[in-house]
Amino acid sequence: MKKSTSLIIRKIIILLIISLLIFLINFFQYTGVGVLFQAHHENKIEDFIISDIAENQGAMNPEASIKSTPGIRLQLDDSEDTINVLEIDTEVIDVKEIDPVNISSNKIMGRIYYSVDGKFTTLNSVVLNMREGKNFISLNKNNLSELYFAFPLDKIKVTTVTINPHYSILEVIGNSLPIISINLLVLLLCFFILDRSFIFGQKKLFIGDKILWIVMLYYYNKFFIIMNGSLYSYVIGFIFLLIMVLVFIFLRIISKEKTGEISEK
Amino acid sequence: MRNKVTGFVKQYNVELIFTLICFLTYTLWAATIPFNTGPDELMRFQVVDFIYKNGYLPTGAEIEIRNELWGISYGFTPIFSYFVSSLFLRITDNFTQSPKLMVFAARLVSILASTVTVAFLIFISKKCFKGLNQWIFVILVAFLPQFVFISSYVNNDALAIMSTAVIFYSWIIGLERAWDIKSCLLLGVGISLCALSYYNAYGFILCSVIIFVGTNLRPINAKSLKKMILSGALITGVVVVLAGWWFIRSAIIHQGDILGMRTLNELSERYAIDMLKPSLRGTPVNLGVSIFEMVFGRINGFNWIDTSYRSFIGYFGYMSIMLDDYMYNIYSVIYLFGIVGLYYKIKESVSAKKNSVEKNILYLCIGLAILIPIILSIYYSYSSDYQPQGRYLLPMIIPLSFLLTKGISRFKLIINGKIIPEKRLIILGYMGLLIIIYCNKIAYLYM
Repeated sequence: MKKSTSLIIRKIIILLIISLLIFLINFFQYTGVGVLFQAHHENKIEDFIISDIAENQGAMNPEASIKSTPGIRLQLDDSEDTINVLEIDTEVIDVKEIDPVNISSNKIMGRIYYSVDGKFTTLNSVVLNMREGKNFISLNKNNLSELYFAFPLDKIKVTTVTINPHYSILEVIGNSLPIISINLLVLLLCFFILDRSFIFGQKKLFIGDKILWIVMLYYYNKFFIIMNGSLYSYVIGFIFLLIMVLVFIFLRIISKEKTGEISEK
Repeated sequence: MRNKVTGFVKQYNVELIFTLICFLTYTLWAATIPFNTGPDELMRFQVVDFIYKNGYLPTGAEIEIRNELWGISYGFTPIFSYFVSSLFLRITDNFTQSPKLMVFAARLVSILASTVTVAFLIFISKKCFKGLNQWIFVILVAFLPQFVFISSYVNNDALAIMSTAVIFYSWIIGLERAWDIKSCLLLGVGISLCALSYYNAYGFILCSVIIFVGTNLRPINAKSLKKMILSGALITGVVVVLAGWWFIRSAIIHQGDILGMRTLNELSERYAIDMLKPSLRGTPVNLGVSIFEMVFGRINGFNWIDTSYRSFIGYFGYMSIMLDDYMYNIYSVIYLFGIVGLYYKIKESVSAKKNSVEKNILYLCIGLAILIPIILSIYYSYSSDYQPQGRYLLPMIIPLSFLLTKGISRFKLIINGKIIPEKRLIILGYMGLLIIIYCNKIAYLYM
């Protein structure tokens, strides 16, 4: 075997391993932590509602009670002026462990994973409204949400739970193969084809470019896992990929431009 | 012809690539964000749908487009953007009636308006900046998360910002060419689009008058006065033809109410639910809170400045999806960098007295174009509806980014004798952050 051929094969194997790693890091992050939250509010809260966001007019429509989310219930504790979130039905949601969650200066971020009938699935959006019409909690997305509170944080208690998403080995392989293939293609495109002098006039990629690509791929994988693999998500994924390639080309071209310090005309 | 196209593509390859990146980015967000996850998108879409179904413009009071809670509709404010959206709906209707694609068709106006904005930003930057500073100016606007967000749902804001880009460019070439016919026509088109878009951007019209009169009357003599009157008549003519119809129509159907605001308030008083009637709404003025307290204190747990600033950078959905703190911090550092540089630049200019009067008038108007949206937003929050939303401040994004880039352009970081490529880092950081924001915030909306 020629020396150059074995070098290419070695490079491809390295890229394949990187592709696999990028995917796996994302995949296992995705099956991470959920949030249980308890919110206290200084004003007395009379009632609150879990409703479907699509049928809800937003925070100003406190009457928009539609449907509750399977496996999860909120309760108002009048005696303590507290919203006791949540009562989780452990038959439906598999709660494994409890950890504290990060509380930043003005919001609480957490993720909620739901699993119905033992299968990790997408549920309807939920919005928690309070009657006052001023404050609202938005659980703005299905099985993975970030929570934002419009009232003082020192009165909010949050705990997180880890939930087992019940993926089978077949599901893992089924989900991973297309994404790993895309990763490999992108890396090949980036490190072999675009890295040629006839396009950019320079032979070698900067190390920064390589890191940038790997970071971008990490997010691309994250995005693809979120998208759940519908046909529409593939169209969106293609646009995303195209943007990444164009951004890469754009950055390569402008890197050759002069920096233009103190350049006011 | 083919050679011409090839030559054009070769000459402007990087500009074309960047514009394409922006178009695709806005398209990506528009394709991802579910319907009505942008502020009042449902209410705005109802106006689009009304025009598409009926083939005529609504008066604003029609029950089909009136919100049952607020008692009002978006049919009272300029609806040019919605009118164009309805045309896209008609075209799409020939191929499909898929609700998803119909919504996307309506959103196409915002996508295209923002892409045109980017093109004008590139024109402006080529005139005013060199090297990487050109791209810093463009990226500060085009990749600001909130700007990308408003480029991806049905609204008037994207058109308003596009009009400010057209007006800003016309100021630059107006000064360069001593207000020749082309620059006057462009200013007329810009003002018309601005008038037909969003009241928050109207400060640009006032600034255009100041800059046009101020720079034309130098020196003040009969000749310059005559030239100014003729050029002014040309601009006025363009504005009357392109935008006058809307205000004449409003005056006729709303009994002299040119802007439609009085009628809108009357309707709201009559049809809104009690707590949202203008007279009963819990606005700071109704609650007896002073403007100072509103701006610097807290109302409903929100600080006006903090919330406006955060939502100026990026705060999605119905102000429910916030960015991570570190992201706001990165943008703040870049802004701070620009403000410090600008301070030194102004100091140098004042001490050297090197700016011409025309240039000083330009900078005065740039300053006013930043201040006016802030004042209008404070006034709106105080007297009409307490909403510290950054999108109300977005009409100032182009002049603000212009000044910040001037500040940034002053810097050259040298550490241990080596030039630090901080401008490349800003560009890379800005583009990279947007990709992370998309994956971490926007993609989840799609699920």
